[in-house]
Amino acid sequence: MGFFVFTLTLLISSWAMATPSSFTFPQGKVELLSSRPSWNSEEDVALGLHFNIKDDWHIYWKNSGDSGAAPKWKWNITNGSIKEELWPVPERYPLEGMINFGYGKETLYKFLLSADTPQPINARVKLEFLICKIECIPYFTDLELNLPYQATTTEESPLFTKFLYPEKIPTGTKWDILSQQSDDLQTQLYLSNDLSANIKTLEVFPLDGENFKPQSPHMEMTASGYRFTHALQDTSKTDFSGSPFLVSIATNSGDRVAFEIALSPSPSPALAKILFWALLGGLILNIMPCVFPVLSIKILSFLGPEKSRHQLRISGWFYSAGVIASFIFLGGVLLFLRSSGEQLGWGFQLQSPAIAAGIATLFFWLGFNFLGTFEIGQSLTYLGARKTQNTHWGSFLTGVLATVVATPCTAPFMGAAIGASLTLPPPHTLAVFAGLGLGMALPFLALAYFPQALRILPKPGAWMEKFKEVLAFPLFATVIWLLWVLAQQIEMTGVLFVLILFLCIGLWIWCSRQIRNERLKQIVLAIGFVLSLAALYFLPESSSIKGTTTATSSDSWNTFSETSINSELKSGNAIFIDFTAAWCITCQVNKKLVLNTTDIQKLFSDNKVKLYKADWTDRDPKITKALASFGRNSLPLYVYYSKGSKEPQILPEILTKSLIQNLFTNQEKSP
Amino acid sequence: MKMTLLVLATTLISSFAFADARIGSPAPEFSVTDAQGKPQNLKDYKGKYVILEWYNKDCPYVRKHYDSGNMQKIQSELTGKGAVWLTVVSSAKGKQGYMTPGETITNGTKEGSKASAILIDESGTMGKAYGAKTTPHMYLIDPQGTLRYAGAIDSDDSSDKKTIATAQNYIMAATNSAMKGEKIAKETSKPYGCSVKY
Repeated sequence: MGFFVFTLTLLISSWAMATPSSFTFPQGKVELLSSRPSWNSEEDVALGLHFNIKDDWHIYWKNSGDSGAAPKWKWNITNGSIKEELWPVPERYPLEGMINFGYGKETLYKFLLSADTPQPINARVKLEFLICKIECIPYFTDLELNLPYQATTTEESPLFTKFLYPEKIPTGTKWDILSQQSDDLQTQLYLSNDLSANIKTLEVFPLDGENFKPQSPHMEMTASGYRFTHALQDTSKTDFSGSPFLVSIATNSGDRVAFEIALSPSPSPALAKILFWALLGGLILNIMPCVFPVLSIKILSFLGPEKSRHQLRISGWFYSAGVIASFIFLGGVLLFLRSSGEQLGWGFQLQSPAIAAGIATLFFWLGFNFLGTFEIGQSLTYLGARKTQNTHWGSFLTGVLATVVATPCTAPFMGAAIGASLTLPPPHTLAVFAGLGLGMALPFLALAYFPQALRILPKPGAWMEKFKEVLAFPLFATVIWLLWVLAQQIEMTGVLFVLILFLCIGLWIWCSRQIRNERLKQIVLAIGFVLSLAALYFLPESSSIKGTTTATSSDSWNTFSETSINSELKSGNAIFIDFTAAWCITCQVNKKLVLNTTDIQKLFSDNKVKLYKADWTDRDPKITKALASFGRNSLPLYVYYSKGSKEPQILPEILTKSLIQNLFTNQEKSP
Repeated sequence: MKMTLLVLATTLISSFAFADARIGSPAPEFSVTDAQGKPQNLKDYKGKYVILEWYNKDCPYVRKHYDSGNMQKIQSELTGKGAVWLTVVSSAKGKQGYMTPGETITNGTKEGSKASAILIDESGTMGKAYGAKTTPHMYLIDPQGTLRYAGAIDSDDSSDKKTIATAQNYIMAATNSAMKGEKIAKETSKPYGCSVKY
């Protein structure tokens, strides 16, 4: 009897003192377990918090997602410590428009142990966890476990290998940040070829719930891995390098792999690369139809016998300085205006009617000069730079002129590079502009140093005069184009004003020819030139009319607005957006040869593609913003959303019919 | 050349953002009625700091801050400094935390709420415009109507009341910095708690 009472008291006291190793709650049970019944120094041993919960309920991963909270534990271990916590790979739980990361039914949080001495280990944990269905219930409990020491090895519980945990990063794996556009971050995950070729499914989870939205990022398979577009939370953060992600892979052979990996900063040779392309782009500018006449005249001026080597080089450098300075100036103006909130893009000069009219007037004069109706005196030296004296500033100004003339031509080719450069820090942006300038000046500079290259040209003579006269016609063509741009910007009276001005210029030049005194003639011409430009001050541009291009083209094009695009996207329609402007020649060519042809229009309507036109002829901040959202600030830009897709496809600047046709055939192949 | 530009261009593609509430941008306008039946519009509070608090009486994380008296303390402290405190209930009819206007008034008195008004947003329009995800989810709007803070009430996502003392209170810090004209150290944080029952 006495013994019985003793045992009973002992039992009761041990119940009262010992903490249980499991906790049952209405939605399930959690148990503190060890991976082996005992431990020894030969074998790894781990603790586990093993949850079994009812259907529809879930507990959380370390990033809980849109709502919820991760479980929390506080360990108190004698004769040992936790060396690593392992969170099983979670699942995404969509919940009324939100996404949570967690576990349903059964899971096991794993804790790798390291022991101090060959003695039993005692582990106690203060556990707090939140369990949610739609409503959430937090629980708090204390659990305890004793793990004896035993020299003989024991079996590992299968529970500890039942779930997937992150392991070592596979070799050859790297995850780079590519770029950031407002709320999106583009990254590229590189995987080793063996792994990459063997992937059945791949899922990624951000550990950083403050900066990354829990939605699965948009992913695209590439040759070396995957490209992701992550949706960012609204934070002011701009550097995401070091942000950790969990990657979970199921292979075709049925294996599962998981690992945690941090994003690496974007590869840095980017600037050198952009500079190289800027240089090359600048080179190409030399053969642009609007730059070529100005340059060829300048090059012809080299042919004169009176030039010394030294003079040529100086002249070359002054010209280069003029080009580079103008490019840097333009870049600076662009940066400055953007920083003060103006919505501008490349080619913006032509969005002002006065400037378009001004360049047209300048070219009109230049054309007459090329035709030989008058000789250029000192006042207009810089335009053709025929005379040897004063060539330094003349060369510099030719550089400036060439740049001004080149910019509208550059837009279609340089758009992406310039758009990218504007996202760089300002000194880098200016470096890119300088690179463009240097590229454009390079052939000329090379000629200044190696004038022997000019020997392939016929000996100077009458042909030069003829050649110059012929070059007047591309100039007049450019004038026509500029007037047409003007006609899109202002009413016909404005264009008429410019045409009457041209008539006056013609008359003025004819009158000047009647003057015998050469010096007086030059002065009269100079006055006429200045007056003609000054007259543009009175250009009636107030009557600016918008949307003429929209009105004149077929009715199938809707006027662009972000709201209508968004609602079209929501209803899953296919959309084609044409970012265009009257002054963008490439845009007009694409329109004539491809977009507005009957067969392409039929293709669009057969495939129920909603067509949108964003007309940037006049400055429109909404369109500038939309362009920027595609990383551009120039035209043309063609964006296509296939049916039901929210991912835009950027088409090349130069469209072909087959390119548009492919949009639909590809779609059928991979819906 | 063309190819590289294309690659460059495609790396820069991004879709149109469906931006709702953004730090530094005008806070979304709302138009709801409060428990007293009075219309409440954001524009009525031009010139004042406005604090929005998403509320669900049955959420354990809301309970943490009300049962401990922490929420009421912050409410009276900030309204004492001239701020407007709007508690928002976005629970849909039939979902957890939904209350009729009458129940809302009784519940508010029982809680000892020091909020300027309790807004009833049973359609969830206001909550979704702000992107409110959890209860509590906190927002600070400045006198110009610009959103200045969005996120959790404090730095500890435990449901244990004891953690309040050691946690860093984000909404207090943000409001105090804004009122002093200082930069807000933490403008966003990951909100924690139960999901809003839209």
